[in-house]
Formats: sequence, structure tokens, C-alpha cells
Amino acid sequence: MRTRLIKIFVLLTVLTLFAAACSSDGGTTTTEATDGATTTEATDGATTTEATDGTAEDGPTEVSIGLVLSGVKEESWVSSMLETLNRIQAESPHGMTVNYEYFESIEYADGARVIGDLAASGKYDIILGHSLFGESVAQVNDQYPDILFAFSGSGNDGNSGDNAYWIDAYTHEAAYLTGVIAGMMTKTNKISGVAAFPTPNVNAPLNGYIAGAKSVNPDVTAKVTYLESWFDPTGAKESATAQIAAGSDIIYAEREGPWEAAKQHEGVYVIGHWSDESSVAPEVILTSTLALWDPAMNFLIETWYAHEAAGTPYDAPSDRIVYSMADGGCDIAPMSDLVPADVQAKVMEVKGEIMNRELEIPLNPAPIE
Amino acid sequence: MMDDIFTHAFAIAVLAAAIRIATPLIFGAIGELVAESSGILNLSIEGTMTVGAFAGFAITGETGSLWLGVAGAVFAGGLMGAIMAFMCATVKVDQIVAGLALNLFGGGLSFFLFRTVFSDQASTGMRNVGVFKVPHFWGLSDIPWVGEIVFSQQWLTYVAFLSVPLVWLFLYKTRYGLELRSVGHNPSACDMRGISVPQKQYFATIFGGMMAGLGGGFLTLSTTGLWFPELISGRGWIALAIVIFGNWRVTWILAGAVFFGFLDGLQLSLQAVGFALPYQLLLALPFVLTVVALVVNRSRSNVPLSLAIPYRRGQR
Repeated sequence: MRTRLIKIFVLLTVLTLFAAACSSDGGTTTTEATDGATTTEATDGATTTEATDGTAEDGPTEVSIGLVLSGVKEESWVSSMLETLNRIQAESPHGMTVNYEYFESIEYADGARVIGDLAASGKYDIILGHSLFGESVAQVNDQYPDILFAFSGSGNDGNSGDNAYWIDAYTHEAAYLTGVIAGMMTKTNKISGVAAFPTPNVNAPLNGYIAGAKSVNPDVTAKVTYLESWFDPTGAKESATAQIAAGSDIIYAEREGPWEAAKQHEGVYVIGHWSDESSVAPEVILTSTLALWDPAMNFLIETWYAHEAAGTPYDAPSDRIVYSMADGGCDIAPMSDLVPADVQAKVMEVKGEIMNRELEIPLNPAPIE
Repeated sequence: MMDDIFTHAFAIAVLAAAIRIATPLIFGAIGELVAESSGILNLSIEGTMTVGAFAGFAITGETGSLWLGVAGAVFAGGLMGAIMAFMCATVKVDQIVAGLALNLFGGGLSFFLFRTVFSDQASTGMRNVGVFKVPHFWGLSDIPWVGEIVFSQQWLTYVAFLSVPLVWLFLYKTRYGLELRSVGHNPSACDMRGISVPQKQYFATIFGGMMAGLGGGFLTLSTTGLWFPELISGRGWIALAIVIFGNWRVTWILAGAVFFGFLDGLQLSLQAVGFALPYQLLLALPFVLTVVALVVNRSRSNVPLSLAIPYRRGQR
């Protein structure tokens, strides 16, 4: 009997510790949100709309954004979104205070539950699932008509409408510019990429990069390794090592890790992706493709503001909301001094053509053979 | 394209990668073999590696010393092993449940500590604590083929390969090793002979945890210097599969780890030269082979007979 009690005690202790470790993942406790899954919160939202009915000019002074993240905030896909929010916070649209809170490492299977909990808590005006959370949002958005829901990235087709918005960032134009660097700088005429899965959001920038390289150097051949994992820096480094052994001297790091392989080989350079990654390996990173979520996020905030201040109904399009490079949807990070001046000049020239819409870079989401 | 494959550079790249990729698998699998030899099925290798990697990352980040980080990884892995041993050898809970719980605990705890110790809300930059340099052995590293494949590896890779014969000597040529294996097969007979069953199981499980911690330390301090919750990416589970694949024999476990490393290295190199073979097939092959090995070895299995069965004196 006594041993059984001890056993139960030990198991409970482990589970409690685990629960404690889990709940602190996101910065705030999700348990609160679960408790609030009653109807009281729903009426909260209703009262705010009533209050704003009278005076349309007196808009809200504060907007709270809840972010559901599939990874952790340092992963470049995630950090590109957080950097956007930091910029919007500083810009303060309509003089509003912009607050955001994020919840990291949420499994897709838990998406609907977590997003539902956040909505029920009544603390958030905008809830964004940053990744394949389209279906999760579609399961809960009907119950909270005053909250603006959103999800981002490819693979979310068929889930937007009403108060559920689909935003995306196309980076192929900026990636094309990094390809110009690669095409001009490669000595072996072999360039490569290390990528996650062959999905449209992954393939499109790689195809842009290859097209950019071929535009300045038709002799270039390009190979891409798919890791079949969203996050595996060790595998990414190993893939890059194999690419270097096969003769490649410029590597597009669609995922974190390849720069560690480049550091060990003379004359091999890396291009970062999603966020500016130069700080992690300044000795080998030439530049980075930047996904700028700013126009899409500003659109969401404006839409929410119009709904709150003037009662404009939510009416999300069935297609994604996405902005080209000329409209501020992507860019490249400042180029490293490792990039020769003539190459930098060529990049700025091509960038100018894209920005004034003389040059159109086609979007090609096909996997690279 | 075929010209790209039948080259020295290709063969060297694949074989050197096989040894690198095998390193954390050897740490995990050899440690697990010792634990399982004493009858403890420790399913928490993945979580233990995560904790070990975090300890290595954190201590190196704080002190700037990679070797102190390695020591921290070993120590943290040993602590995880000690928790597992306490649950299985002292309070004798279900080993499967305890192992799975510890996996979740290890992942959650290290992420929690990572967030409390290292990150502030607004920063989005990755922290890189640095990695070991590849040692250059004067003369040896310059030999064609062998030098590039064998003598251009990380220090910890040599430690992993050296641990294999040492563990074999320990398990099969020492009295303590014999007693440890006997505990895994027939604990009540050992108990009758005056051998302390929990003591052997504590030793074996803590050793297994230390090895897994070292494997985790390798994955951060010898590869990228980064730490993230998903860093181990299933390598702990592959190590568990290798123990089964190797039929609980030291030599076969080593062969299994190197073979798994070879398949992965081959798949990466084939992708790098643009070979049209579906690489997903090679990624899945290790697991298919593990199932095949289980079936083939079913009548000659070396599995410790009391594996995962808690030993209670006077009960059977």
C-alpha cells in the first residue's frame, strides 16, 4: 500500500513539474484562458461594439494581438513576424498602443483548442496563427464574430472568409536579388539551397534565387536539398557539407544551420532567409531575404480598426492577402562587405527595376528537381 | 550525373558524413544498451539528449568553455538517468510510462529554463555559443581517403567510437558487468546471491543517461552551437531503434549506428548532386530495417529477459 502511494506521488510530481514547464512556454499562462471558456467572455465583445456605435470618431486606443506560433521565436520564420510587430508597435497606427503576446511551439493538432482558448479569454482583438493554422481558425472563428482571426503562409487554402483572414509573404523577388549575388560571386558555377519541405512557400524563393543567378550567369547549375523537417540545424549543416563536397560555393539557407558548414570551408558563402541572419555568422552570410509582414499586418489592423470604430463588417477574401516587393512585402537585408562593389551595384540596379515594376519576377512554386 | 557519384569526393563526403551522423546515435544507443542490460527500458533518451544539449549550451554560453559545457551535458544526462533509476529501481513504477513522462519533462524543463535564463521578450536573435574546431592531426589528417574520413572528425566522435570497446570490455570482461547483465536476465537469482539489484540498475541507468547527455552535448557543441527545443529531431528515438536493430550486441549496435549514418549521409549527398532517387525512401529505410531485424532475430533475440519488468523481492 505504501509503495503504491509513493508511486502515485512520484508520478504526480513529475506531471506537475511538466505542467509547470509547459504553461510557462508562452509567456502567459494558457490555463487562465481555458478557465474562461464560458459565455461571459463572448458578451464582453458584444458590449465593446455597442459602446463604439455612437461616436464613430472615437476609435479604440489600444489593440491586443495574440500570436499562436508553431515554432520558437528565434526561428527566422517566427522572428520575421515578431520583427514586423515590433515595427508596428513603434509606428503606433491611429496613435494606438499595440500589444502582442505570443504562444510558442504550439502543435497543429492543438491549434483549434489554443486559438479557441485565446478567443474565449476575451483579451485579444486580433488572433493570428502564424503557420498552417487555417483549419484551426476555421473551426472557431464563427463563435467570436468581433475578433479578427488570421493565419499565414501557404497551405492554408479554403479556410478564409468572414472574420478569418489569410495573409502571406511572397519572398521570391528578394530571393531573385540574392540569386544575382550568387550568380556573380560563384567561382565553381555551382550554387545550392538547403530547404525544409517541398512546399510552395519554400520552393518559390528558391526558384527565384536560381532564376536570379541564371539571369547574370547562364552557366550556373543549382541543386536543392530538402531536409524533410522544419527545424534541424544539425541536418541542415550536414546537407550543406554535402553540397560543398559536390562543388557548391554559395548556399541558400532556407533553414537555420548551413552557415556552420560554410565556416569550415574557404570561399563558401551563405544567404539567409525570412529574417536578417547576419549576426549569427557575419563571416559567411552575404545577405538575407526578408519577409516583411508589415503591409499585411497593417491591413489587418486597419480592418479591425474600421470594424471597431465604424462598424464596418468583416469580409475576408477567399484568397490570400499578399504584397509584392514594390508594395513593401519583401526586401533584402543590407549586403555584407564580402559582396564586391560591382555586384552590390548590379543588385541595386535590378532592385530598382523591380521596385518601379519594369522587371517582373514570376512566382514559381514547383519543387526543384 | 553518374559521373558526379562515382568520384572520390562523393565517396569521401558520404563516408565522413556517416561517421559524423553516427556519433550522437552511438552515444545514445551504447548508453541505452547498458541501461537495458540491467533490465531498465529507458525510453527517455530523446528527452535526456535535449536536457544534455541544453546544459552544454547554457554552461558554454555562461562560461565560454566548450569542455565545461560537455561536462555539464554529461552531468545533466546523469541526473535524468538518476530520476529514471529512482522511479524504476526504487519505487518501481511502470518503466514505459516513466520513460515517456521523462521525455516530456526533459523537453519542457529545458525550454522553460532556456526562456527564463536566456531570452528577453523583444529579442529575436539566435544565440550561438560556438562549436569545437575540427582537430588537425599533423600527418594523419593529410593522408588521402583515411585522413579525410577518419582523421578529420570532432574530438567527441573519437570519444564515441572509443566508448564502444570500453563498454564491451566492461559488460563482458568484468565481474561487475557480468552481475549487471545477470540482473537484467534474472534479478531474483542475483538477489539471492547477495547482489544488490537496485544498485546495479542505478549504475546502469545513470551511465546510460550520461551517455545520452553527451550525445545531446555533441549535437549542439560540435555542430551548430544553437539550442532549440526540437534540436534532437528524433535522434534519441533512432538510438532506441538501433539497440533493437543491433539485437543488444555491442558490435551490431556500432554497425547499426554507422549504417544509419551512412544511409543519411548517402541521401544528403545524392540530393546534393541532384540524383533522382526518392530520398524519402532512404530516410525511411532505417525504420523498415529495424522492423525486419526484429522479425529475423525473433528466435535468437538477445533481449534481457527481465527488460521493463520491475523487480520486487519475493514476488513473481
